[in-house]
Amino acid sequence: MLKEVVKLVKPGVFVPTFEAIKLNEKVIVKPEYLSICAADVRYYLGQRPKKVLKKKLPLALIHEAVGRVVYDPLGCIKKGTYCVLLPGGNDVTDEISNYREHAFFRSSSADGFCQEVMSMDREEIILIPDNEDPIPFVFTELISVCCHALRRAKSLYEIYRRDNNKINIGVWGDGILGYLMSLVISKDELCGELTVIGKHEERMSLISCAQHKYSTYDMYNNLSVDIAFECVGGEGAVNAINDAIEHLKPCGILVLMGVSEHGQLINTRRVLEKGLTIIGSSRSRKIDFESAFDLIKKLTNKGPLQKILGRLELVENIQDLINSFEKHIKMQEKEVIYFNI
Amino acid sequence: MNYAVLLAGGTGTRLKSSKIPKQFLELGGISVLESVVDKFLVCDKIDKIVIVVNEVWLDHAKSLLVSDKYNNVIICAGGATRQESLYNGLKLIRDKYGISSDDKIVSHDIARPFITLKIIEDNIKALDNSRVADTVIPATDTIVKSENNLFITEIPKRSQMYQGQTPQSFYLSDFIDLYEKLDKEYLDSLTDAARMFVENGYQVALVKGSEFNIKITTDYDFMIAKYLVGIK
Repeated sequence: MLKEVVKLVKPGVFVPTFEAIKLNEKVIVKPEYLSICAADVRYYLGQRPKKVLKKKLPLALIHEAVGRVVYDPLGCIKKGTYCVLLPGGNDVTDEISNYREHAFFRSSSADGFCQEVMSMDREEIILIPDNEDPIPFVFTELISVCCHALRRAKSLYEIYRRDNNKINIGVWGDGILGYLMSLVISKDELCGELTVIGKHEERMSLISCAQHKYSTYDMYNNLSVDIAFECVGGEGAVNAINDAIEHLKPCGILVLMGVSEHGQLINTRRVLEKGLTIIGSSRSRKIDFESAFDLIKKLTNKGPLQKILGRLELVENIQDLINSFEKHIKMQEKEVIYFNI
Repeated sequence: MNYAVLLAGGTGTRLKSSKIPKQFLELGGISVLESVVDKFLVCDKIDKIVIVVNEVWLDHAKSLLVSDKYNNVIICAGGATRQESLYNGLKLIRDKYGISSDDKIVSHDIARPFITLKIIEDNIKALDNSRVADTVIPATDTIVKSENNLFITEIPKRSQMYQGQTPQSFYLSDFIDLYEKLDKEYLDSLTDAARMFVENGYQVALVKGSEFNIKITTDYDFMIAKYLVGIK
């Protein structure tokens, strides 16, 4: 059948294209609830290096999505069942596969979810129970990235662990990523005190799961953490990274999660003095998706996610999609798109 | 039940470059027929599919749809006109499954392979508020009417003009009741189902189609279709 795929052909310009797909043993899914991520915005605004844009475009954007199963040739999945769509394909075989140079990832090395329908492996979807509202599950991918980062940091921390005390953690950043990272940490039994350092009063007030919250303008000299998560990205990342380095305990772990297009000058002297380990973490595996999925399922009334959900935007054509991107850039909210093109 | 009745009765006389009717030509490595059937097959709002094919091409159509996934798809022979072909498909549904007052029909030209799930679903939804629905797009060209093919009789306001596409959707019982009481000469003059309903007192709701939902009739159309599928 022919399916419509909406591709970004150059910054700011989306074009509908058509591709033929054959029905085989795979499940046919209609991506329905989508969420725009900072990575999508960088493509949309042309903020990636020219060489990268030339190589990757045309590209269908968006890698955070919930879809509706419209057809299962094996008849195992009920039509209309909602599911989380995994952007990493079905080739995730080990911990580093996500980070290989040509790793499959939608909205980066492969077309994202701005498509009318998609043919997906059963391993690429996680079914959402009928009694659940599918919309909060659009956060699964981003939460899975947080679960992945925490899992990696914790396993490394075990090497340097000096006692059986709970792990003290700091999160730098009060945006959506910082918010969700804090949420994930707060639900982990091994994690002790959580401190969040941010800049925006209103956003900080939404983070209710942290024991301590500091504005970047506050003095918090006594803060000392075992693991620090940098969730700032962009131009603010360098200050956050250097601040985190100062507040990490010796042999502590710094996890970088925010994307910056430009090189950052970090205080390597202090990194060496303290024997810190720095991890870059931006992807996730199916195991992390499953952790994220369980976490969302257990949230009462999905309250923590409802707090950060923007308005549901109806996208029925190219202009609607452009409007959603423009609004996302202005509002900095986690908008959810109802994609029905 | 929601039925799709897919019309593939054409014999391809306006497609000069091929002796094969357009519905059997390949687009993106799949025949147009399979492409459209697959789209209705994956529409979770459609319960059964009936395909109406010109008698000459009946076996050919069947040979394309041999896979198990087409087990619930029924193929039947068309009639001399479009309306008769549609009626044949609907009669088959009545004879095989009976008629229920809420049976809905979504009839679509196989020659429109760029149909989207949204358009199909919008057609079905439209029948909640209207007995009949027709898929259209606003006319972009000025429409000129001439009754003698020599001089303009009228130029209607473009803002009120639309181009008809398919699907056309309606309740099964309405079509059968109306069709069976109208005379043959009148029915033969009709080019589509919506007109039959409009001229017999039904309100027909408009469903928004798409500029891409083109009908492959001529060589030009087929070239455009190939371009759209090949575009990167």
